[in-house]
Amino acid sequence: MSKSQVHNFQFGRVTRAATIGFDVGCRVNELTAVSFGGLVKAMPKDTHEAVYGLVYNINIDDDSLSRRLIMTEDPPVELINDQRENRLLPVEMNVMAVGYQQNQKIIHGLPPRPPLNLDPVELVHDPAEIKAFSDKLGYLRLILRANSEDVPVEQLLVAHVRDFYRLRGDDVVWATAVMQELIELLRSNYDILIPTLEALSDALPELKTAVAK
Amino acid sequence: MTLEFERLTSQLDAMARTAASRQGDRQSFVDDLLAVMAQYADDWQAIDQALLLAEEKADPKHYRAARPLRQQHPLNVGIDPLPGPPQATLIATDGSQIMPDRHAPYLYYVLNVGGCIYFYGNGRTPIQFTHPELHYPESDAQEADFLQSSSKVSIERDKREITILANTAWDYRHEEAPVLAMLDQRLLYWPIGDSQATPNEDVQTWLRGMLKAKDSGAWLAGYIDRPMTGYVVTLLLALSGLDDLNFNWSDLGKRGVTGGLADAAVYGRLLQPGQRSPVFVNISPPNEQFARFDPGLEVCFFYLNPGSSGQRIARVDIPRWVAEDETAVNHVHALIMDQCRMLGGYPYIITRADEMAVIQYADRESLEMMIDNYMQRYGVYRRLTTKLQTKGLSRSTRRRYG
Repeated sequence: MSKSQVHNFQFGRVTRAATIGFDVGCRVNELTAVSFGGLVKAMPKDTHEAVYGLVYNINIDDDSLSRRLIMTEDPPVELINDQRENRLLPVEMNVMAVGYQQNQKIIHGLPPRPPLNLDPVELVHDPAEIKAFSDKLGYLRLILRANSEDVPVEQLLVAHVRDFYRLRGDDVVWATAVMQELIELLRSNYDILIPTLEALSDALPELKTAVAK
Repeated sequence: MTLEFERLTSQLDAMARTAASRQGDRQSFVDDLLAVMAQYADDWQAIDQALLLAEEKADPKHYRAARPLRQQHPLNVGIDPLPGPPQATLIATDGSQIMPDRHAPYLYYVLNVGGCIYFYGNGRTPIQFTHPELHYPESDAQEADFLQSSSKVSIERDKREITILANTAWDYRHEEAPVLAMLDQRLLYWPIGDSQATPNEDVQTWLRGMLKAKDSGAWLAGYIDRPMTGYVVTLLLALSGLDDLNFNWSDLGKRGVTGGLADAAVYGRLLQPGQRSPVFVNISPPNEQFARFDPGLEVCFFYLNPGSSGQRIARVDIPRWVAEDETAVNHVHALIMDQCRMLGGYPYIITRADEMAVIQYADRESLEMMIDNYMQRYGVYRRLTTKLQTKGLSRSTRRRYG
């Protein structure tokens, strides 16, 4: 598929929201499209606003029936399909707000108002929008400000950079700029900087060469 | 006011003591019955003789018993499940309802039949469905009937369950794999006080549902968890009467004689996990009516230990057209056990049908809001009775301050 054919994909809806982030519910069969660190966009209906966020946690809920079924030895595929495709057990994901769109302009910062319950949420895959959102790196500050007890900050950064590096067409220049920005932002916080850089080097070994050059 | 638990403690103690004493009596009664069973386990002549005498001498009002379908397995044998068919289509339906409430703003009732179709052995995702139906009085004259109709609503629900089950089985009649259609209730449906009566229109609807399932080529089964019936106990008592000159045949079948002891107490001691009993034919006037409607509809049954451990007993009702086909009985046994293994003792597909059918309190509230909206469109405005309003206030969640 060529880049121009890649579109955003609606996969769920907002279940609850606040200024700093929102939760999204989706069905299990839509889960494969979304991953930890992915950029999503909540789109309130009939407004010109959208709220961008990064998925930092995916929670798969249970109920008493599914807990009981865990005890089944070697559950048949029909049973697993029934649980995953038919039963109304939503997958819930937590999203950290990292920007918003207002009158076609993307701003890195917390949105003026959160999305509302049941607003549709898209996974951002459109290369032009990915580029527009990430050409400037101001949103990295919002990630680093997250409470590390709730948000696995280093892992989120690594997942996000790896995801966008690919979506931007293996954009080494962008990834290198991100690493330099992180070094700048985290120069007084070696506890996060060192493991983040190490993890990024492991995830994107091609960057090592580029940075060395 | 809330329930004052401390005022119940002595009554709870008395209740537990009584239960313990009854349990002891029951154990010794079961021991006696097991001894009779062992004595006559495959004495088919004595079994025939006992049933003949019982039929002659017992009070037909109370007499209900079990006759072994075949002279094959001894009464006290536990039969292990054999391998099931490689593939099968299982269908289950279950029903639930919102009963009419005279304190509600509008008089109505809702029936909701939910179901699940499970494609055993082929990996296909099960299909789930619901059939909701709204009923309301169409005239002032009907309104009075509506208020007395909670038992009628239950009967309507039961009829919908079997009708939808049979229709769904009919839709799958061309499947290559066998079809097993299941209900979570008895097949010998007789919601009439007088067991000697002829089937009324409700029973005939039920019978037509069974017949359609039969015509579709499906196997039909009713699954009864924790059955309370004592048909085999009555058979064993009749057998014990053969050697007892003073045996009171006219009391046979009366609850007082057996203390309400259920067959499950006997087979709970005999069946290992997964095993079933031999197949029996239900002996009762309603079953004679079923057989008269169509000989294939006569209800038979076997007991089953559906757990992976312990002594839980379920009863599986099957019509004669299934019972007479030994392969079908073995496959029904295997398929039900496969379903029970998933949830540790209860068929998964029935649980799913129940889940589809059940109407939660929140659903009812939403429906009432919808009814209200629709009514307002036509200028109809009614309110809750004051009684219901005040109950709602006093029963809402209480919050404690301080």
